[in-house]
Amino acid sequence: MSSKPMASQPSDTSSYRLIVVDDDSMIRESLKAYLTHYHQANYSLLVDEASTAEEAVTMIDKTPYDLVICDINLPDRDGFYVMHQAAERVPEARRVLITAYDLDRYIRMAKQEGVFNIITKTAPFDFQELSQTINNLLMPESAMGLENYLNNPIEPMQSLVVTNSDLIMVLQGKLHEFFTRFQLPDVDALSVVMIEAITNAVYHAPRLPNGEEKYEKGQHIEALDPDEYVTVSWGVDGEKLGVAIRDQKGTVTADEVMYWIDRNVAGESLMDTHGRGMYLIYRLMDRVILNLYRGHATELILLHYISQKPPDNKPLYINEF
Amino acid sequence: MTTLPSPTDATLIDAIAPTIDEAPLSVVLIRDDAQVVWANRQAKTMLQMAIERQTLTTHEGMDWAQMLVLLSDKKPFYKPVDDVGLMWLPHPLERQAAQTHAYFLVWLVPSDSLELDWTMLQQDWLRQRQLANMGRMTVEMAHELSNPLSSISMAAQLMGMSIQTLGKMSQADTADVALLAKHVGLLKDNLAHLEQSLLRASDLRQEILSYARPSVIRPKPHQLDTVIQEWLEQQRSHGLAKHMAVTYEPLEPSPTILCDVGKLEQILYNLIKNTYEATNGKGRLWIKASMSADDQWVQISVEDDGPGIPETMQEKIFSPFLTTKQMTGTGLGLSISRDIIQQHGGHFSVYNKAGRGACFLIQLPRFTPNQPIPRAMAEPE
Repeated sequence: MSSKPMASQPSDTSSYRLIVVDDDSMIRESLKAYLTHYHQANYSLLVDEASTAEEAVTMIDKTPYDLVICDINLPDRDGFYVMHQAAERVPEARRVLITAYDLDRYIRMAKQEGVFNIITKTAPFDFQELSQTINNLLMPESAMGLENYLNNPIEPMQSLVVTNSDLIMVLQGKLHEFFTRFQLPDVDALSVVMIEAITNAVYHAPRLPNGEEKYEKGQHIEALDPDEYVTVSWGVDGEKLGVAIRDQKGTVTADEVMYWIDRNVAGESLMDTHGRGMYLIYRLMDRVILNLYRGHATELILLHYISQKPPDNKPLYINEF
Repeated sequence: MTTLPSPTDATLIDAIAPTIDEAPLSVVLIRDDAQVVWANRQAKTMLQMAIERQTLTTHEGMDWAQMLVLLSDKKPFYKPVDDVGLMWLPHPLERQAAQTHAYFLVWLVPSDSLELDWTMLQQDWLRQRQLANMGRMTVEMAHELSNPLSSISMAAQLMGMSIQTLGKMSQADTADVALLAKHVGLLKDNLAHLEQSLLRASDLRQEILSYARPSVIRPKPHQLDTVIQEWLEQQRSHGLAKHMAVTYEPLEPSPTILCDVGKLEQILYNLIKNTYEATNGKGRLWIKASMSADDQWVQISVEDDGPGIPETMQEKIFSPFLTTKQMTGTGLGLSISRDIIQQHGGHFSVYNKAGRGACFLIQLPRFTPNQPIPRAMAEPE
């Protein structure tokens, strides 16, 4: 993930203030060292540290941080408490949690506190991914586009614009062939999940003026309106495959997504058909990045590693802007 | 002194159910008012008790009240009732401290297994409990390893990045001394992180091993005062008590306890180390010997003036991998300490003092001269 030139970024060197909260001094200091000295961007980061929740809140009281990175498991209070306090003091602060544990147990709390980005302490730890996440948090619009997630693609990225419902089947064939070419072990499951996501984008995003969905799932659509087109891109770099699915509506909210993930995690949704797709994607793919550009676009970036499998504790990345 | 809430039926059942619900032994939990408050799956089948009932009432074939008379004798017994026999063994879980009711775990055995070897059964029981704990712990262990592994990965990568920068500099015509110094400094820091994290992972490994291999307890009668005095002398001359104020209040006359001195010293050491770490070596420690109100238990309390146990942690203080990460240990210390005390037939509990500080209370059964001395408790290594 290279840091791409960012159009929205002012040309002069700007800087952001952030605070890293973790009682594990080694992790805290490593994160600070990386972000201070190695994070490549056309802005600089001023990094403060805190080792307890109370210390963090006291510091946030004094400094309106642009970004708060906080471990969930702290000795005095938990990370959600810090997130809550940070939001009250600095509403515009970007907030991200970090944990060594599985996300499942935290989804409900994260939803309640409105924290949609959770980094996992994996081993090996992926600093490039951290850089991308920080970029996305500070400049959410730079999160859009599959090209930002593929380093030195080994073949040109491809894309197809879905203008009618028949093209969904065409895409299924193309993606199946793409996955097979890279000898993925779970080609069928992956293809099904992709089609589920694409179908959702085509059928659920377009709404009637009264807010109801315009199309019925499974209905044949001869021609979508130009503003209903869904763009699907796919590509590969040395370590992973990526697929991006993007609509032009931007009707999905982070709350909705968290609701479906939470319901599925909690096992309350055996009969749900609506949120199952999102949950399956979240389960089957190595990385899911959701870009919710309200009123403009919803983009789902799906990454599947082909070289070395990343560790099991998956992060949560939802950018809403 | 504020005490932790006394366990109710529910909390007690929660504590024992996971380990013995699926055990191939029939076990019931009887309260001292002759109510059977819980039975494991096997026992329910055996007694044909209604599974859906929350509180199991007296089973017609059993006279639980009479049973309690026998139980109060604190001696192992076997009593046949129809085709079911009742057996009770003095057992670590048989009673918990600080509760209003007394509870007894009773094992039910078919009448035809009168010849059962009780020691073997007790060992079976310990093994069962160990296995059940291991399953849950494996998950916790994996998680607990995430932190050191992740920081090892971070430090190694950061060192790689600095080396890359230094490599580029070595090919340049002019040397940027400031940048050179910066990266040498970063390399030093990250190397230190790497070493610390490796040590932590290695400590964790050590503690996992000591938990996985339960030690044998070889109890002998000892004067409590002698045990504590000797240990304290040693600690004061070249242990942690050299750097810390430790006050000892003996009990006179000193009671006799049946204990494995090495194990008891290990527990005392864990407690003093906890205080030392929680107070950065600035805390004070009081060790007091006393008898319980009913004169049945010899009590050793270890109190400090440290920060106490955070409210949020009191419930999980004995979970094997409790850690606040600032502590060097993993929390296995307390979990192991409790196991050792329970193997001695005693109780280990924790309180926060009203003012400041924590109190760890060890209760061991009082030893009477004509009491039989078991050769070893727990399975051999």
